[in-house]
Amino acid sequence: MVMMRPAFYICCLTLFMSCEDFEGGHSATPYSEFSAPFNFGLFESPPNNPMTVEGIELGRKLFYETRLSRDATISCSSCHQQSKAFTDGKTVAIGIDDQKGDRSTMSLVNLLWSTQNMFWDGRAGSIEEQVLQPIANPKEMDLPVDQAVARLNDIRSYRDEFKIAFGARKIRKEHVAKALAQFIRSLVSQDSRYDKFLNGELQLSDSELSGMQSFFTHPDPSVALRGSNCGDCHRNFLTDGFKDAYEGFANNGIDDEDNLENGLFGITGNPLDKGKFKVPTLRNIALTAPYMHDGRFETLEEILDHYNEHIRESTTLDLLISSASNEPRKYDDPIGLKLTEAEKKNIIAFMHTLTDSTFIANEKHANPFTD
Amino acid sequence: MLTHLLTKISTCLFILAVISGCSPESPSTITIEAYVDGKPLVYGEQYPAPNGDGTFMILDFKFYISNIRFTNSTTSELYSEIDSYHLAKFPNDSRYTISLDNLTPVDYDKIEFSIGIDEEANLGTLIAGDLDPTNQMAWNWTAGYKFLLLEGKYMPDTSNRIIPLIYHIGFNENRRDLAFKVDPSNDIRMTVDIIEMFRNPTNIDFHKYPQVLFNETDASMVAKNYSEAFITITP
Repeated sequence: MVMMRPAFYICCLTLFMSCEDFEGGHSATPYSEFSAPFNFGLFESPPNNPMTVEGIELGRKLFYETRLSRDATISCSSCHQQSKAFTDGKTVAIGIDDQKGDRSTMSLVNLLWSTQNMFWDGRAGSIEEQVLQPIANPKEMDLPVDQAVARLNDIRSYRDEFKIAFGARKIRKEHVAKALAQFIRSLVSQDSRYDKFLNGELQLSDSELSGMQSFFTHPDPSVALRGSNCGDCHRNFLTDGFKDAYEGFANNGIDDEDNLENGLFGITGNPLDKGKFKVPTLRNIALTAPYMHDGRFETLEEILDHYNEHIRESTTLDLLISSASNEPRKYDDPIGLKLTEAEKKNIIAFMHTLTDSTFIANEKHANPFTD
Repeated sequence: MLTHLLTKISTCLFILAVISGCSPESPSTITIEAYVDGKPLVYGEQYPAPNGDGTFMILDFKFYISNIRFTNSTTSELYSEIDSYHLAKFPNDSRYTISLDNLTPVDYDKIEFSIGIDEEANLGTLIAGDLDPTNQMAWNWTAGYKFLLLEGKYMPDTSNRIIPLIYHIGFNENRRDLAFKVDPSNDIRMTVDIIEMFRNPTNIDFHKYPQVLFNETDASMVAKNYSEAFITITP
């Protein structure tokens, strides 16, 4: 019943085939020993930023580099902590001088396959564009990017490493962005119990299997098909939003019309996008609480209750949410999935199979400045 | 070494493209224009409901067009596009364009294609063209793809309630193979009129069928509608 596709491995040439961006004299090593499950689909690095061993390693150092903040106290990793699948456990991010940010920290995982529209509201069009913004943001690291680049240019070891990775005689902000983006693209989670199940390496429990079935099924009472339709937005295997254009943004009914934030509308100017936010990955979801763009839910149970019985209506509410119910309903009935308590428990059991303990312990992703 | 090889390959492809692209004798693009009862598709715009009271709007519309082939009915010469799986979508305007690379310069007078996906690709693991098991068209509770997706809202006159319209049409039996005469010297201009999904032969009332997904009888009813007058080609 559940789709099972053979899990063999593919390798993608575009990761490392383009060398045109180099300024000459470089000796970076193509990141060639890379494989990913077939299930994840096609992927590519931007042609002007192929992944290299040295580029990724340099990006890792920058990710953990506190000198990229005004007072050298915080780095990207202050909010994106590996032990929490690169989140921070806080309602909203806390930046320099203990300032509260506007949004909950997003997990960083499997972005090689994801939409390149970054941030909850999609305001950055690429990872390269995204990574520089927290450095300059007065509520986050509060260091103008030019000053950050100047600091790096004053450090001999960085000058040497940028030269090797990008053939750069002088470090520019584009190089910083590219290195950070390469490291972020290298954060691949593919060893969860769910992955092992897809690869045929283990069997899930009955509860987990029922939960998976429910997760990926849109209910259709006309044929007695039950489901919780999570997969309508959290796509197959990867569990993040759809990749193309802004398909991976949705209004999931957490606010009514009067309280709807702009979200994607603030970027596109299209009123049909009001209240839409980026559909986050559910990989490692048990490690990334609290949930939603404003961190309003603390537990997975609260999330299930929201989708099951607390959907708030608005004009841009996702149609696959407003239309979904496990029981035939008249259209004057309130929106709700009408799941049983047992079904909710099964779905949560499945969500726990998305935890990848190998990923959060992977030394290649860890702080290079500590032993 | 690899870069060197790829450079050679791209040079060859470039030369091929120059040779084949210059011929006036074969179409190089297929343009698909989406309409609703003769008016260009605009997301969020209200159109009169096809059968019954009220108005409806469309918020998303996509369909697979696959296995595109051109034939010369006199010589039986055939050109089949490789990896011919296109997901026609209309995100910003009502037009979707397919580029026909490397089309051999021979006179063609007929185009054949499918709405939907052949069984082998639909149920298999092929990643080619716009097939992708993680895209919005992939079913996730079972194998295969939606062939056509339409989502919108129905605003009946008789109620203040807005009814979600969800049409996700898949299943192998709902693939439709179509053929049209074409003028080989022109690019191909295809029109798709969404209103035809809801009439001819079966008039579909949104009150009765606001959602068609997994019910095989209902899905087949919509598929029969999209085999008639849904797509037209100006010869």
